[in-house]
This record gives sequence, structure tokens and C-alpha cells, in this order.
Amino acid sequence: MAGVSFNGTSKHFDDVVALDQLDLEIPDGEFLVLVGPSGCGKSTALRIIAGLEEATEGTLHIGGVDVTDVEPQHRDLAMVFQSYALYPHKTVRQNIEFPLKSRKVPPADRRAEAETAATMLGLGELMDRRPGQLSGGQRQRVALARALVRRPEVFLMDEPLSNLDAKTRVQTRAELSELHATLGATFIYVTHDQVEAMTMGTRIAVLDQGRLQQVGAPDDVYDRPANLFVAGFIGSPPMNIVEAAVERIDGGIRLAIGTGAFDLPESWGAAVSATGIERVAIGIRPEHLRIGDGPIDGVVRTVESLGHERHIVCELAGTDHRPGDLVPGDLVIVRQSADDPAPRMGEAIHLGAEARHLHLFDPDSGERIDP
Amino acid sequence: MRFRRRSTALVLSLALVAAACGGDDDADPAPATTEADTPAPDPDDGPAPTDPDSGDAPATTAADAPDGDPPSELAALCPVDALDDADGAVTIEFWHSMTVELEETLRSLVTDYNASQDRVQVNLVFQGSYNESLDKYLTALRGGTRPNIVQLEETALQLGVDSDGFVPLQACVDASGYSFDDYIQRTVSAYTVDDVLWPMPFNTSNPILYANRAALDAAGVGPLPTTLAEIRTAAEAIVESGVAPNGLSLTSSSWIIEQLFGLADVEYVNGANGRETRATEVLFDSELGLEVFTWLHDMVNDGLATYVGSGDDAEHFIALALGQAAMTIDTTAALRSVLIGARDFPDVQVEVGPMPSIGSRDGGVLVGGAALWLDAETSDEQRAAAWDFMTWLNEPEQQATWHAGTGYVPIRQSAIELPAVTDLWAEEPEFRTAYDQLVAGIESSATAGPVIGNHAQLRERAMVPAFEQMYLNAMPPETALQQAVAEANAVIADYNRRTGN
Amino acid sequence: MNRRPVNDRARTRTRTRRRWRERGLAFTLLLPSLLVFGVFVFYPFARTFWLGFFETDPFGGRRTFVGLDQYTDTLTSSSFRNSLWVTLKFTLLTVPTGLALGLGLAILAHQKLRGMGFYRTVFSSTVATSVAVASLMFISLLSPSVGLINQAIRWFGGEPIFFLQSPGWALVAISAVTVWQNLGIIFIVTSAGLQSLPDDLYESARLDGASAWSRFVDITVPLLSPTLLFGFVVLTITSFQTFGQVDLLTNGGPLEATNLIVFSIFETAFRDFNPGSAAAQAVVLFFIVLVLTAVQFKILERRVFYGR
Repeated sequence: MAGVSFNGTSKHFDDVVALDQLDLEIPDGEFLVLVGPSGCGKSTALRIIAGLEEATEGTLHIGGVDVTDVEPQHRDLAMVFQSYALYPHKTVRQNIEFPLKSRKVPPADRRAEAETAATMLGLGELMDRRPGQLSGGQRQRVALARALVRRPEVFLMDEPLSNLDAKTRVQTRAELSELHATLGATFIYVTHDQVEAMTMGTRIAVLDQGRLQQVGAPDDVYDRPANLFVAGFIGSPPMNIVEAAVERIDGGIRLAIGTGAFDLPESWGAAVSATGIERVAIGIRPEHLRIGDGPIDGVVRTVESLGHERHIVCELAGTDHRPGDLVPGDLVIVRQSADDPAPRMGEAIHLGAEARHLHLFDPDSGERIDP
Repeated sequence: MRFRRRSTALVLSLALVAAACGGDDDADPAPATTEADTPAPDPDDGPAPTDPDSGDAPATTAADAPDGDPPSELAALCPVDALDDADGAVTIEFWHSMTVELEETLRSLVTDYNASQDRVQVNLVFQGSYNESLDKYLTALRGGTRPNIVQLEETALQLGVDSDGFVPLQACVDASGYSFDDYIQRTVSAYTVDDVLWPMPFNTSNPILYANRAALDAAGVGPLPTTLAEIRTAAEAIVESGVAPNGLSLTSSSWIIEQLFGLADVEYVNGANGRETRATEVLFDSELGLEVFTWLHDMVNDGLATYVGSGDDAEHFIALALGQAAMTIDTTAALRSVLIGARDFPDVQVEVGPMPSIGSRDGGVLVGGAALWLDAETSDEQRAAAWDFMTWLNEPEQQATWHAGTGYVPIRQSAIELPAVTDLWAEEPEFRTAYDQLVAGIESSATAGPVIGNHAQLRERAMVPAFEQMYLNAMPPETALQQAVAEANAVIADYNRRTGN
Repeated sequence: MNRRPVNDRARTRTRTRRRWRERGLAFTLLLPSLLVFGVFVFYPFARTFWLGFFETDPFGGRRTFVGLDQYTDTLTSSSFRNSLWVTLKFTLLTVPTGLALGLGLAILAHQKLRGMGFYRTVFSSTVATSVAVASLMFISLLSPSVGLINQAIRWFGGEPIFFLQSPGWALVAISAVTVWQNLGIIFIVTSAGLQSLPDDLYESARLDGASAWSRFVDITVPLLSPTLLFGFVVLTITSFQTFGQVDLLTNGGPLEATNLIVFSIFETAFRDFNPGSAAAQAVVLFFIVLVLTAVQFKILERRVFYGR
């Protein structure tokens, strides 16, 4: 039983607030990904779990036990650092055995455990080499083996894939997921890459500027972002966010974007008029936009072909928010299958989407508006 | 790769070749060195004049004179009237080794001299200790800037003579007809080798006994001890009465044993103490030597004397000041400084007495201190200027001032009648102790002091280790004596061999 | 555009010419250094070697060729061997102590506490003191009558220790001065080394449960080993060159207990006025130190860990 929970945990560095009142429950066995841009507090949160940083406020529990004041070595967790932190002067075997040696495990047992861990990660042949002689991926596996060897309840990982090349990264992602399934331990994983977050986590927790923005299963976060930040952060290419003017007409709300406009369905309309806002931010994912006969007018600016799909960048007509720029109007990206007919650059088109794919947000607070 | 190895080899071989060829030392014939270079050893030889062939200054040269030479030849080396023809003041550089009060007094004398006339300007340069100054002079001999006058310790006599770097002051004496009648004769004869005076005596000292009268009184000791045995008795009284943990503070300075031999009128080295022929071995391998060594050994090992090291750091005086001991022996030149220093210690009452002897005082204390040597690479004008300065320094008035400011013995007999001295002696009679014991001594080869080639080396290499063995390792005096004798003879032999004698 | 025909011979010619031009440039650029080294290092060394073959009088006038006599005398002389032995003892007293103390201070000063900069300045400050100043300070400190240490001893009722006058203590006293003086440079060098050690290694070790001592022995020392080797070799070489402290404090005594080799050579040259013998001793010393350094490197470099 080794879930982790933050209760009102904050961390201040002089006058900088790195973590602001974090409340987060991580059940035992979960693969939780902490994701967010640089400086959002994810690494700080991880280091607080490890005990390498002391929380300024709040508490931390591991396995139901309050460990806020417990030394790192007594928390029964293992950490894989971004730089792997391998001891360069020791062999792979010595590196893996080190945690056991520190806990005075007898040599025979040490050897056996190290062998097991090494085999699990395919390091058998490299045991007598030094880290300097290994590739990035191999070093990462040594770091993992070293973390494994104590069979901790919680595994912490601080951007472990960021130093690997793209191909190795993909391979290692799969290996990590498999490892998690095999061990059944709690994995807490920090990354700034939202693709990693989406593909690996049981749940992802999005942080920005020290505050938790949203936590949930990847699909949930993807389909129902709680605010503008999450909406724009999760998803690649990112969700299109456009501001529309709110017009009251009898029967509901009409949203005007540039030269185009459309009426909101009744449930939406009620929610929007209830807030009383004059402008609303509309989010629509690129794969949900259709070029054809929609209510919004636009002009094709670029057509990017990625082989299996196309990204079409369109400028919305009548939205000259940046006069003097090369492209003064708002831009949206449309994802189109390669099979569909490609529009030409400069072609005037119409854009539309299904109502169920719309996301509406209050432009000032960023909060989601639900129908 | 090849290039690198070749060029390295090239550079190194160039260096080797340059080293072999470099330096004109072996190139110069230096005729004077291979012939009778030292007037001292051969009684038939006259002084071999040392003259710089290389100097561009119009120095007077004289041919080598292997046979007994009329003084007038020597006189030509020092034309004392040359100053009259000089235009402007002649500057001469004077290297000295005086410190603290001694330096202050010397400096004020030189300033007075410079101010009193306009023909000579003396530049005073402090060159460190006697040994350091000698080192620098010898280095300068090999190609550097030489001073005109250098103050060297009395132990440097043989070295000075052998070096071929100096003009014997006898030359100037002969040229000017100077008379030493008013001098304490022994100060002149100490520096005379084979009828030739080499350096000009100036600061003469000898060792005296310093004691803390207050401590002696407390221990019930009466008048100051005058023999080694009396010192021992006094020390026993001091230690037994608990006045001080030791009676005497002892340094490793080895001129003490030389002084004891002088007082006993016994020669220290052969060759008539090195004054008739060059010394080849030491003579203290005798009962007298053993007596001295035994006394030293027993004083320390019986807990009556404390050994404080070389004395360079004045630890022997500090011991007196702090009540660790009640007596010590050191040069009279320190007297002024000691009296000034003692003012800070109200429990200490400085009393001074003559150097203790072994037994009867048949001989006399040796002439210690230093003398002024005239460098050979000087022009006629500079020699005349140096002579003028040196004779001025030794005038009774200056000797009186010098004595009062330091403790060095006034070497002019008439100086003691001057008010400076009579007043001083009336107020501080300690200052006449060294003078009295100097004039009380007889003139003999033993009291003139030993002339040894590398005298300083002999003291450091032979005597000091032997003393330390006795003090620190309780080596028996017989063994220590043997060790000292063997080492001392080795030093003398090494010097003679290297100088080709 | 006129282009000259490029054939193989022309190509080789220009290549050779270019190579020589490059060599010429290289030599010209090296010339100033070579000159300085030549004048101040190579020439004096070669000349010293040469001088060792001649017995000289004190005045530099008389010189007799004696072949290898002075060299063999040096090697067989008990005084020289005593000096070597004393120097060896001195090295053993000062080098490990200096390294350990300097490293210890560096580790203490490595923490991120407020005001640590002050301590870092203090610990490095001995770099700025000269041997003369340090020696004079220690003379007052060690004086049997007025020195602080002996005053403390007397206060506790003990007998004063004659540090500089007793053969047993004298070398320890000289070593103390030297260790004190070396603290600054060792502190600076090991501090710099410590700064370069990555923090996450220590964090990982902490998480793994390594004790402070284990972190020191398993991480700090191996990763600092190049710095420590450097310190060890440099301290050994300079300990063989020690002179100032001996000259100012003990003059080689008492009973030759502090007659370090360079001091002994100095006395031969400037008290005995025997430059020939001194030169021979200096050359012998050079070869001894050369061999010693080579041995040190061979033995220790195997255990040094370079790079990551």
C-alpha cells in the first residue's frame, strides 16, 4: 500500500512560489505523469516526494504515513534522474549494487539481486563496463536497474527520456510501460513533453506556475480540458483557440468570428448568457474542423503535407487583430486526411465543425463553460 | 614527431655547450692566484699586491714581489693625496652588517662625516649578517658590483687575504705615514698578517659575563664569578636556592672556546695560530680542550645551565629577563641593547663582569668584532677617500661616540679621556668591562686569535654539532671533543686543498 | 580567370612549402618561451651539471677538474643521506596531513550556508603569506619563553617544550609551518574540484541510503582523484625544495634534525663556499626527485579516475 498524497503542499524559494497549495492523491500502483512547461513546479513536486526538498507548507503522505519530515533514505522510494546520476568510476554492476551495499546487504544477495535487475532490463552483457562506455539508452537502463534493485514501493522519474534520441525514446517509452505493468508499483513521472504524458500515464496531472490545472485520465484531459491552459497545452498540433463576440438574439446566443457567425445550441446558449460575458473563447481541435460549407469564412495560407495527413493553416476572414503584420488575422489549423482533396494556397474556404466538438471558455478566467 | 625530438635535442645541447663555455672563470689566467698569493704563510715572501688588471679605473699597479718588499712599493697602491686632484665629491659605497642601536649609531656617524666635509660622500648600505654580506661580496667578486668598503667579521681574515679582492690597508698606512701609537695595539696586530695590516680595525668587541644581580643576591652569591669553576658554584647556589631553574643560559656559539684558549694563552691552531704559516690542524685536542668540553657538558647535563639554541633569537637574554637563568655570556656589543631592554623587567638588575677564564688569566681575550676592508677594484681617488673616512671613524671623538652608543670597545687609548667616555663610565661602568679586559691582555700569537681559512664553516660544522651532541644527547665530552677535532681538521684540509695550498 | 594547371608535383611542392612555413611560424611563436626557459632553466641546469665536475675555491678563481668525484662523494656521504632521510620524513609529515586538512576544510566550506564566503577567504588566505612571514609568526608562537603555545602549556602546569631547540620537535615544528602554508593552495584546488562534482550524484546516493562517510569515500574521493594526485605530486616536489622555513627557524639543526636537502645544499654553497660540491648535490637531488615523481605517477595514476 504505497500511494502518495499531497495535502496543501507548497514550496517557496525566497520570494518565488514554486508550488502553490498542491492537493493531489496518487493511488497505489498508478502511473502518474506530472506534466507542464518549464518552471511549472513538476520537478519541485517530485523532489518533495523524494525528500530532497522540504515543503514550506502542507504535508506529504506515502503509504498513508506522514513522511513530511522523514529523511530521503527512509522513504522506500527510488529515483531516476534526468542525467541518470550514475557513478562514473564504478562499473555497471557496482552501480546497480550500490543501494544494496549502502544498506549492508551481504555480497551474495547483492549480486543475485543485481543480476535479476540487470536481466530484466537487458543489461547482462554490460555488467563490467563503465558508464562512460555506454550509450544513452544503456545508461538509462542502468539507472533504472539501480532503482529497481531495492524493489521500492514508489518509483520517481525526472524527465528520464529527455536525453535520448527520438527512436530510442519511443522504444524506452514502451519498455517503461511494460515495467510498470510487471512491477505494479507506483510510478511518478515528470516530463514537459505532453506526448509522453498522454501515452504513458494512467493519469496525468497538468501543472502551470506552481498550480495544479487538471488531473485525470489522458483521454479525459484531452476531451474535456478544464481551462484554456490545459486546452492549449495538451494535444499536438495544439487546439485552435479563437475569440468570438457574443451576440444576443432572440432564442439564444450567436457567436460572431470575423465575417462569419453561428448560433449556439440552446444548452450552450443558456450557459453562456448566464455568465454574462461579452466575448467567449472557442476551442476546436484541428482534427474536428472541416473545410466545406461551414459558417466561418477563411483563406488558406499554407498547406503542410505530412505524408499521412495534411495541416492546412487558414486565416479567418474579418479578424484583423494585428494590422501591419504579414498575417494580420487569426489563424487556425485544420487536420485533413491525405485522401481528401487538398485546397490551394490563397483559396477562400468555409470552415465548420460539429457542435459536440466545441469547447467554450471564459476568456478572462480561462475556465471551461459547460452546457 | 621527428622535428620535435630533434629540436629538443638541439636546445639541450646548446644549453650544455653554453654552460661549458660560459663564464670567464677558467679562461682568466689570474696570475696572482697561482703564485704566492697569500703573504701570510711564507715568511720570506713579501705581500703580493693584488691589483685588478681588468679595471679601467686608473688604479696603480705594482709588479709581483716574491721577496721581502720595501713598504714603499705597497704605498703606491694607496695614493692618499689623490683626493686633492679630484673634482667634486668622491662617492664611496660602504657595506655593513650593523643592526638596531648599532646601525643607528653608525648611521649618525656617517651622516656627520658627510656633512663635515665635501670631498667624500659615504653611501651606507646594510647587507644583512656578516655571513650574508661576505656571501654577497664573494658573489660580486665573480662578476658583480663590488663595494668600496666592506665590513667583515674577524673570522674572515684568511678568506680576505686569500681572495685577492682587497688592497691591504698597510698600503695606505705606508703612503701616509699613519701611526697606530694611540691605538690599543692588540686591535691592530689582530688584523696584521706577516707585518701587513689587511683590514682597518673599527668595531672591536669581546665577550663579557651578563648577570642578574637581583637573582644572585637572592641566591646568596657574592661578587661575580671569574672562572668556570666559580660560575659552576654560583649556578649551583642559584638552582639549589630555587631562585631560578638554571644558573646559566648557554648558546651554541663556539667563539667562547676560542676566547677561553686566548685567556689561557694557548694557541688554537698550529702555525703559530695560523699567523706564521697557514694552519693545517686544530690544537684543542688537549687537556685544556677536554676541560672546556667537560665543563660545558656537565653544566648542561647536571641541570645547572639551559641550552637555548644559537642565540640568534636572543633567547639567552630572554631567559635572564624571565627568570629562567641568572647568568649568560655574550658580546659586549649587545650591552646597550640589553640595558635598554632590561628597563622593561623591573626584577632584573643587569650586572656585567669580565669573560670568565678556565684558570689563571695568562693571556687575554681575543679581539672580536669586525674590521673594514678596502676593495681592490677602486680608483686612486676612491682609495684615498676610503682612507680618509676610515681614519676619521677611528679618531678618538668618533670612537668615543661609537663606544657610548653600542658597547664596542674604544680602540683609541686617548678616547677614554674624552668626556663622552668618562661620563659614560661614571654613570654606566658596565661599559668599561670589555675595554679593561682587552688592554689587560698580553700580546702573543695565542691572544691574537686563530687565523683559519673557513673559520665560520669550522664553527658550524665542527664545534656546534659537537656541543649539541653533548647538550641534547649527553654525548660524553671525550667523544664530542674527538668528533669536533676530526671534523675541524677536515674543514681546514678541505679549504687548503681547494685554494691550492 | 586564369588558373594555373594543378599537377601532382605542384601539389606536393606547395604542401611541403606550407608545412615548412607552418613549422617556421610555430617555432617563431615558441621562441619567446624557449628563450625564457633556456636562459632561466636549461642553461642554469646544464651549467650546474657542469660545475659538479670541478672542485672550486671560495673565490671562483681556482677550478680543478675532478671528474665524478664530487658526485660519488655526495652519494656516499652520510650527511647527504641524512638530509635525504630527514627530507623524506618531512615529506611524510607534511604531504598527507596537508592534503587531508585542506580537503577537510574544503568539504566543510562547501556547504551552502550564509557567510561561507568569509570562511573560504580565510582558509585560502595562507596562499598570500610568504614563507618568511609564516616562519616569523611561528617563531613567536613556538618560543619557549614567550610563545603562546608554551604559555598555554605552563598555564596547565607543564614544562615548556623547546620546539625549535630539541631534535625531536624541530622537524615537527617545521612541518607545522609548512602544512599551515600549504593549506591555502590545497584548499583552493580541492574546492574547485568539489564545485565540479555534480549534485545529483550525491542526491542519488542519499536516496540510496549512503552514509556521509560512504558518500565521501565512494563518490568524493574517487571523483576528486585527479585533483588529489596533483596536490600529492606538487606537495611532494615542493617539500623536497623546502628552504625558507629551515633557514629562518632552525638553521638545519639541532643536530641536523631539520637539515633538509636544499638547505644542506645551500650551506655547502654559501657557508662552506664550496659551489662545486653543492652543484653535484643539486644534480643528484634533481634525479632523485625525477625518479620519485615518475614512481608516484606510475603507482598512483592507475587509481586515478579521469573524466566521466
